[in-house]
Amino acid sequence: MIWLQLLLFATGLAAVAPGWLARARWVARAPRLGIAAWYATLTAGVGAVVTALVLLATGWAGAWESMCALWVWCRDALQGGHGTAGRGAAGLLLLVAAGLVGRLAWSATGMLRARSRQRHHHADAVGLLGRVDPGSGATVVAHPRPAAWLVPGRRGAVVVTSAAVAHLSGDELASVVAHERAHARGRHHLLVAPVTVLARAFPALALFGHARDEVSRLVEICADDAATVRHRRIDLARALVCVAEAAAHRPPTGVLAAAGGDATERVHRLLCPPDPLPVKARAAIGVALVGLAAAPLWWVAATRAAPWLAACLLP
Amino acid sequence: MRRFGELEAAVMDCLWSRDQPATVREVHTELSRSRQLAYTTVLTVLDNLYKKGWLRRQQDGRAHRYVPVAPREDYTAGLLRDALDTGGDPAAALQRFVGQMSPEEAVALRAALEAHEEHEEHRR
Repeated sequence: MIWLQLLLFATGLAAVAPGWLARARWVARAPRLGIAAWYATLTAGVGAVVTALVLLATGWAGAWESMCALWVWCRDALQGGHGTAGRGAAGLLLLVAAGLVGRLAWSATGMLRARSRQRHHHADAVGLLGRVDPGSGATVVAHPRPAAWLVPGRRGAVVVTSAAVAHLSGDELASVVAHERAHARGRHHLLVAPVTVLARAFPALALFGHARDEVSRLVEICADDAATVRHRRIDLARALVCVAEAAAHRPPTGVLAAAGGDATERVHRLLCPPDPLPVKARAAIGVALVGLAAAPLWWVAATRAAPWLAACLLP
Repeated sequence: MRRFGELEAAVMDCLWSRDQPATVREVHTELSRSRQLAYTTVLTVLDNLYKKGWLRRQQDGRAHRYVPVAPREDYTAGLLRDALDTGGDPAAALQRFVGQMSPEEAVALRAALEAHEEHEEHRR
């Protein structure tokens, strides 16, 4: 009953991984590995579920009738072999499967189209309202509140407000621009998009929401780390505090954005940077993550080699 | 349609700084003071901006008069809303530098920074 083992594995992983990754200290010391860990967890979990379904559908693992029993039953039921009730049940199963795939497609395309429209309009507005500041290379728009952000796209512009230019020193502003440029160089929107699509498609699965929140948080830390290669940590920290103060006293109109807890953690991390993870530890974690991501496949291959494994851990 | 550039920005600047709707001729005259521009170029730019919803157009005899749909501050405020408001979804915002924060958190953050800087001063 390999498919059952795989489903149990996926459920267990979804329950245990978020807490474990939140407590792991190496994540703060190697944020990119942390992001990889989240993706490895998702790959393992989703992969286990998909592999289980494929096994059920094709009976690939061989002679175990229990695995292809569901598929055979469905096929016969659709052809009327189990009466109208059977046909109805099989049809319902097909509908559910189609519904899940459809929901994922809806989430992905909806997000892509809405974001694309919004971003074209936003890029147009930045082009019309902003002036490029030759000192920092950023586009400056006049506004009384210090802020900075990246307009994604092929020519992603870093936008800062005139208040940011006024309140931050030259070095602090340069570190902010470097942070936003690090997002563009690292293509971080590509890291955040898949988990956002999953979380939007299946909001009931807490694992996806955790993954989206954590990947977003780690991506900010990665950009901080990249910016502080060429700029001083204290400058970025001062800039963060300045912009955060402005954010606290002048909330944007509309729904409140995500909690600023991230900024607090980021400032503390900039003021007291953690020791980087040694190369051996990174390599070990990397190997473990690859192993985790491919775990469902390893397990299926192992049960081929040692068939008794297929019955273990089950009542 | 290619992205808006320096010319479109200059045209919008010109219109925002006027109180009244302007004809193509008036915009062309003003912009020609600082650059070489064909009348038809200005006409195309104004037409594009109108089609994209940035300008309103009124008939005045045989000419059109153009005026911005909203003042400049409205658009900048809109830019910030886009960039900083997330509707609760942290990944929906364009990659912004800092998310929202409560005043208490901001005060604590400023205190932490100042404590750190004092500590660094004493070490030296």
